Amino acid sequence: MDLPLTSMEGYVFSRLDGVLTVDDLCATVGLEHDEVSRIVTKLVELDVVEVLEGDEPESSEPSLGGAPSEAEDAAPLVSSPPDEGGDLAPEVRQLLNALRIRLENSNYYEMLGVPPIADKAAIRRAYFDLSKKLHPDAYFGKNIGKYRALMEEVFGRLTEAYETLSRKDRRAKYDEYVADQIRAWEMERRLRGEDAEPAPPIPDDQPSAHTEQAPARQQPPPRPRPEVKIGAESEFHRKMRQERGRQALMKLIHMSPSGGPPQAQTVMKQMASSIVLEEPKAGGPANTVLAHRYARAGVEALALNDLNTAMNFLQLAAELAPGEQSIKAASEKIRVHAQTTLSHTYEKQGRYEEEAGHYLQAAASFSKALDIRGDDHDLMHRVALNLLRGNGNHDKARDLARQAVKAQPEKAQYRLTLAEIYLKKGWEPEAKQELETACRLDPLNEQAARLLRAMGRQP
Amino acid sequence: MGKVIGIDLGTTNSCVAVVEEGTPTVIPNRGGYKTTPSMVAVTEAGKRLVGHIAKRQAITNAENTVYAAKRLIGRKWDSPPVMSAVQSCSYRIVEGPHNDVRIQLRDKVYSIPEISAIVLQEMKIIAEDYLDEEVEQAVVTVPAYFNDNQRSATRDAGTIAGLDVIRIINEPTAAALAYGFGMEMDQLVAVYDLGGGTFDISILEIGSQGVFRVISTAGDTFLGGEDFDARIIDWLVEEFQQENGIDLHEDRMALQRLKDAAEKAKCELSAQGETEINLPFIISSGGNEALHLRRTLTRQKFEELNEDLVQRTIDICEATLEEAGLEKDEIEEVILVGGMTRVPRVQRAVAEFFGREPCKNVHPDEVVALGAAIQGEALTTEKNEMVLLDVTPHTLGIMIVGGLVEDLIPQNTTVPTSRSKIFTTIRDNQTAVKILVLQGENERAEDNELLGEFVLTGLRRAPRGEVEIEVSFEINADGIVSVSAKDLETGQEQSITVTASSGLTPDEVKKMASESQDYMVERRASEEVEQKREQCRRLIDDVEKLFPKVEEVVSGSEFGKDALEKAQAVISRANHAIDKQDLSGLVDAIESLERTHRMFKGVVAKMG
Repeated sequence: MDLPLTSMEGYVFSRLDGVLTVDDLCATVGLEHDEVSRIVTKLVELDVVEVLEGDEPESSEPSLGGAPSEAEDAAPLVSSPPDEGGDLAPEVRQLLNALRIRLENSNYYEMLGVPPIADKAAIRRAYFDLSKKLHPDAYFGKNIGKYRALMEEVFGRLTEAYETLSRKDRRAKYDEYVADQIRAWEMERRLRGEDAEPAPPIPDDQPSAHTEQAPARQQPPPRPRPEVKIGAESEFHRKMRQERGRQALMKLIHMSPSGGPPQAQTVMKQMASSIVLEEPKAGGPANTVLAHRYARAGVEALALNDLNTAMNFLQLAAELAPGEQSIKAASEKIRVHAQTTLSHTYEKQGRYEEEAGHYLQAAASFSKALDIRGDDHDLMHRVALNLLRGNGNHDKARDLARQAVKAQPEKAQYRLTLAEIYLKKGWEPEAKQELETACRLDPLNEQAARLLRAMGRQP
Repeated sequence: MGKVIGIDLGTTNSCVAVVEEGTPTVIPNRGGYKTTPSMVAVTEAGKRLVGHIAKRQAITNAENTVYAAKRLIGRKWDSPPVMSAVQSCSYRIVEGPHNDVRIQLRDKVYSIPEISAIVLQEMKIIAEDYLDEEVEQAVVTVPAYFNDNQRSATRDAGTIAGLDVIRIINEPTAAALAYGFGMEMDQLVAVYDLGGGTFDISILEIGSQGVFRVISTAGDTFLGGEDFDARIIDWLVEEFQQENGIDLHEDRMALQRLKDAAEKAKCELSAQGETEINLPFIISSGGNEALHLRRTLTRQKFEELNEDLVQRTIDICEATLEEAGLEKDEIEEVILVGGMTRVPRVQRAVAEFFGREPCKNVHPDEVVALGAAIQGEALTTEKNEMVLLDVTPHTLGIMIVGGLVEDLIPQNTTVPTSRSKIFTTIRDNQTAVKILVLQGENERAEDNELLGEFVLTGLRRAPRGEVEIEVSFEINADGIVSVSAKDLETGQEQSITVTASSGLTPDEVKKMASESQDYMVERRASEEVEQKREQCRRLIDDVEKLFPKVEEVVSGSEFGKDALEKAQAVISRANHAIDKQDLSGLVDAIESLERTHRMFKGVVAKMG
């Protein structure tokens, strides 16, 4: 992604979703009307955005109700039936409706309407300003009908967002979590082979050429133009746009799209040096020669820790010359590594969600990791534990906990979790047995001892 | 619609305020005082007295003058604070029905909310006299660390007094509100509130747009000025005991005189280095000789006697800061609330801990009432000038199997808030379930505060584990808990009966925990039962198929007959479990059947 945009412009770009008007954008990103207009104009000039004039948005996302002076530009208001919540001011009603839509799939920054780089004071201001509008007390003793429940739900989420973003440690973890989601999503796409990324430019024979990737990319090979229309668009374009938006978001939070922790980088270097590519037969088909060039470029990219590019090149190489075994092997090796990396990303997500108390989400993330690393008993245990805590599928939890115990019979912790699952199902004899074993294996385990004592008190 | 008043219902003194033309004002009583003692008495003639007039006759009418009722409100009879009050109070505290607390004055027995209602009514009258109009609505304050029972009881007191208590707010929050009202500044503040009977510390962030958000709060609902007084009293009594062999605690009037003297001494020591306590004719000895008590109390000795109490407040401050994830130096202002913060040792301790001098321009006795008045005004008028974002001070949970607690809404969650969980039945055809709602941070149910038991009736008859009930917990802006339940299959909200919340002793709770009769466990999938039954049936089949062969092989031997008998027993138990749809029975049966099957196969393989 190499559009000449500043962070702020990139952020505004990422906010476009085919529905928001310029006014809505102002309210969402917290910039002045002039500034947003300027940015949109710039994006139009760069040919990445198309403004559909006169297209009334069909969706029910009306203007977010900014300052009174912008009222004339506002999208048509959605009126509510007179008997529902008569005391609720129209602009607050719109605000609630707009935020309700966000409850499904927005992150905390989007809920509060702040850029990811916002400082603590800006975040607090956003939350406090919203609190004055949306705290139920503002409508104490008034009639706002069904909007009261919605207000409480929306306000609850805003509070959750603020509680996370207002503390440095929680925010850092959350940012990492969001970045991980994007990384995982990208990796998933690559592994599925859905790459809307254009064919990379043909690397020159000179070995040093591909290190200058930026200039190389500006060369001809045609790329799908990322057209963004404000208005109706195809599914493909929408996904493309989302991806660009997410990339912009990631750049803003200063995360490298493909790096990963330093350990992973050394692993990649080692892997790169371990890959052996055969020399193409001289005079062979052009595709094969090209394929080998790509392959080599891929391995060099790997040595420079660019996993995404490496995968790209190797996939392409394998497609061009399906018969070449060494290329296939290399591609497979990298692919496996990518999957492992993905599984670690999922695992990391799971840990974050677990800590935040979103147990079922954590169980799902750990499950995804387990799908890739099926023998990992720690993952088995983590899925089971989170299903237990989040009150999810107890049978699945039990099966996984049993598998974990089977894999590591000496681990008291696993038995403890299994016991707790048994207790939830009311299987007291089984629970007791596991607890006794757990206590025997780890006499210092307080939780097991306590549960056992509690069971002992029952008739 | 009349004005809304704000009432600080204090342990020792109460205060009432109102917002007049945009200015919060404390309302003085008929005597011109801005605070009124929270005391109620009944004279020999049967007349009821409140406030200063009650205080004046407290010594001569010690047995029938009530003070510090706030220390008892919302508590159970057998709780340590009540037991300790029974020992040290000059008035009679007696047990009420359902483990309740009652006070006996002359020939009548009062509940604690009734006593507090008398005080609230007096404050209402003070306001009405001043405003020259009827007052119906009020905001009443409570310590931040009060639990749900204490809050509800306070609200009840208001209702008994004829007031519509539109909101219960926390005292430190009210103080912050009065402090920051109209300030239009962003600030991070700590409110240290040490009153007559309770201690609270709250950390708040104030936004210039008029938002007051509590980050964390903690306290001790049985730590206050009364305890500092008690130390002085104990010290006097002990020495007197050593000198004269008489325990002054036994004599109500002597006790009351001591209390009065201790309180005075404490106040004097804030201004001077020492004070004389002089109580002539404190008591008569065995030989009808009049005894006198006369001692000098230095400030140093006073501080020594109370060192641990002061330290405890600082410890709580430390924990609260940590909970808020803040460093001491991030706090920009410290606000002192409550009469006890006039004590030099307390001021020093606070200044030392926070590393800054506390704010001097709030009146520690009046600021809470002012804040309550401001909040009342904000709620009932159109002006949207401020909003309070307070938290619940205690974790809310329910009891689960094993007598443990499952947390639902954690401590320091911003209110209003709500959470739901799904429960189910544990017996076949169970048509009612009982939920115990608990508030507190302990792991065992009986160590927490029981808020209520809820009985949910009218469930459809079904095998156990099949009925899905979604129970929703809600804490409203007052910090008061309500529970509702919905049968998910029918979609109907079922009726809930709240039985007497102050009913059960910890022992009774423990007993309930061990009775697994009516309690809920988490959802168990019913397909599991079906699956197990199928599995069982197949195994029985397999085993039965092998019977003839095994009989052939082992008949005649003792061991063989034994094995076959055992196998029969296993099968019949399995059939029983299948019929009863008894999941744990089925699991056992499957295990036994598999073992039997393996054994039979082994036998046949060896011989056949």
